[in-house]
Amino acid sequence: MTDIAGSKATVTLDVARTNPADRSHFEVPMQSAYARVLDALNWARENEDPTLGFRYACRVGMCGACAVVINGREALACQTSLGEIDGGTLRIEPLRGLPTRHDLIVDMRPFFEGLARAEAALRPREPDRRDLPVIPPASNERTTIEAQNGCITCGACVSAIADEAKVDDGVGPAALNRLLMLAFEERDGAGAARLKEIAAEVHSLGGDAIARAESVCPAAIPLSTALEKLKSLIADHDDQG
Amino acid sequence: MVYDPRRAVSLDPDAPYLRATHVQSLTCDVLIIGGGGAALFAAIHASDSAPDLDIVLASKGLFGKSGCTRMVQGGYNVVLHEDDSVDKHYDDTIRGGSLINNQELAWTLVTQAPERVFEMENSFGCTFDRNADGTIHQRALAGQSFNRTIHRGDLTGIEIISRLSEQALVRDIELLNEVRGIDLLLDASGRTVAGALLLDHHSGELITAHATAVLLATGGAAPLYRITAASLEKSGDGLAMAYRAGAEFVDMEMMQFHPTGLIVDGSLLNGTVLEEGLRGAGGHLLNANHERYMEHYDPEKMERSTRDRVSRSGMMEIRAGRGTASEGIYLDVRHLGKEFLLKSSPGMYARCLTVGTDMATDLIEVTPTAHFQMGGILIDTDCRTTVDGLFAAGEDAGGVHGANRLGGNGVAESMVFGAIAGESIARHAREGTRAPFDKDRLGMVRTRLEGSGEITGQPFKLKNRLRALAWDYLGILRDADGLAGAADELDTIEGELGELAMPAMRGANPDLQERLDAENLIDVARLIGTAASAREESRGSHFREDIPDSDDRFLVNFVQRRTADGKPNTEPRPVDFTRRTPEALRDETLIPA
Repeated sequence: MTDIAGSKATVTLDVARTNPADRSHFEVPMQSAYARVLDALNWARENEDPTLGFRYACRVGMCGACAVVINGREALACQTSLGEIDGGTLRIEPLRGLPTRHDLIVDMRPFFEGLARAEAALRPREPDRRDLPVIPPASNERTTIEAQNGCITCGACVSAIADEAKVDDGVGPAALNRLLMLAFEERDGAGAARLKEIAAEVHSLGGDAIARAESVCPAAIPLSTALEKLKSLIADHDDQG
Repeated sequence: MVYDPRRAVSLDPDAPYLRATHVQSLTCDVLIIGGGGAALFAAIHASDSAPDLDIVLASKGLFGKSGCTRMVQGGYNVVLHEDDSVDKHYDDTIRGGSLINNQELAWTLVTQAPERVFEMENSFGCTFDRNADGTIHQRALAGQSFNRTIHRGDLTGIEIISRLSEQALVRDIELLNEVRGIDLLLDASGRTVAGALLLDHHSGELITAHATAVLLATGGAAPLYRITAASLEKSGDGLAMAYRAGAEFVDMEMMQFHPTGLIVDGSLLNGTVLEEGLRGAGGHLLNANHERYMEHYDPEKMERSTRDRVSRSGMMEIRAGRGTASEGIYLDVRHLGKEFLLKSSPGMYARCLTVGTDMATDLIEVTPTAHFQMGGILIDTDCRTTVDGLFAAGEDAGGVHGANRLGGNGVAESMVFGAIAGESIARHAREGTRAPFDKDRLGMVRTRLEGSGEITGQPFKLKNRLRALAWDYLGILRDADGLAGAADELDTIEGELGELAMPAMRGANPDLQERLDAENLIDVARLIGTAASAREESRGSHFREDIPDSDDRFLVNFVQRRTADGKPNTEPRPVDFTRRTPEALRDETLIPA
């Protein structure tokens, strides 16, 4: 074990278990100055409790599988350094608003169903096209799309607004963001048809809630901007009749 | 569509051979096991070519989140420019593979790669990087005679898998998350596949999936090695299932190590790849004495040589005592400048900053890292395996890349062969019938999983021992003694694992998952070890320190299958030079300046 100058040699994990009444505590040695919350969870599982349930895959912030709530805030376990955390104890809970399956692992089905309900997928205008469209990256449409791109569907946004908006009642910020991208996408053939279905959700989602979702987004997607732009698109669409 | 197995699947009371409780069954036309790029592409193509079929995709992790397509950085090799040609791409691929690629599979790869890019862009909405005038941007990766790699920054996989996942979600495809394949079901003859036994990680329920066609697209077994770039939930499950079902394998000695895995001691981040574009753009590799050591190994191509040579050179420097304290070497990109690095490799720049390294001002400590399995299940150009009704695509299949894969050809393989496999399984399911499965075989597999034991944590320790063993003896530098010793130690580890009573608790039990992973990895390790012993020469990623030269007598592929004692039979089969003779490709690939 390396004792890192200026930091604690161990960190305490306070982890929620499947039964909300149960919690487990682990004293985890800091293996590296750059160790992540994921490393601490893995150490606890390999050395203390082989039943501890947490989910991860890529370990480099690309897959979003390890999103949890760390000291009250949604974050990717693989991207959160132990050294960033204030205080000696890390409280780790599963994402909010999604059913828990095993300890820190939630059922992501309602989140994915939101994406499916929203039809947040390209409906191709030219599916048989056999070359690549010319897409100038500096065009207004493209810069709008690119500013919103990069979602890793981790579910942090729906967790952050779980108190205001139930996942089952709408489609969620990630799906709304994708619909905005598609509204500007010239290769998409569905046009504004999808926007009608989500108008009520767009208008009911509060500015504070979406700002909170944005603040925890590991891909730093400007979700507040997405909501504003959707509102304006829906208004334009209504004006046109 | 995403289903809960409990909702999608009904209990089958007429199955008396299923003695235990918590047994479910489902019937489908097409069963896809895997959740990465090849599996999703196959599911989409199967659905589009035959919308009436019942398609079930069972993913060990979350669909689209597990597997390695999502982690693709460098990009996708495809001929799009008028000055490039599929012949050039083909020759680069075969030369890169040290001439033992399956020439028909490689031809399929290079000729169909453009089709899949048009589909990803026009039908799925992927956007790869453009030049300022809106035309496609193509960059340099190693071993290529033309800059033909399309990409999206240095995080290409997120774009591909995000768009594939949403296309799967809006189709009528049953997506089972965190449900792994345990073993294939066969008919009474043992030669036709009839489905698979699946396990739901959380509920612990076993699911008997009765299917007309089964596709294995679970990914390879790079996590067999102590240091790996791959997504760590992968454990060669498709390979091991196919092995136990009697399928033939090819090129299993060929495991690719990427030259530049980030070193982060004591973290799961260790071994994750820093993309090849950094070397393509002119990055240098230095040993601990700050010497640009590639001068001694490949003075012409230097750092832009193929992955096998660059990885081996790095390992030799480390072995010779010229490595860093953490057994690494340095990647030096400081001379490329901060502005260029932030523009061309923003993802890598950010990742290095999180481990205290600023690429623009600091040397980056890296190590070769287990990356990609070239070897795999023997397939034809329709992704058929040697078991009737069983198909394989992506890293589960072997032969496309020969002895070494070019950067950018991996995701192209997953897309091209995923699409082919989707159409093949749909055709097979439409034309074929569901064979009744052999209940004795199912009973044996099920009995093995009936447990009464405790949860011990031992599988984690045994798997770590296995990974250290593979790194030391089945890795970049091999020799006859090491391979023989590793074979014995594999038997020992397998014995110790077998002595652990199967745990009584099947659901929500990572200890059990780890054990099943280790069992599969042991099967894969045996295939690798025996093929590596049989190849008494050095070629591509397979390097024998005791026989360091290539030998034309080994222009063969080693074909393996399981024998009655559980060990592989290994036989050489001459390479079929259907499109290029070895003489035509003796010259080295010319790398553009």
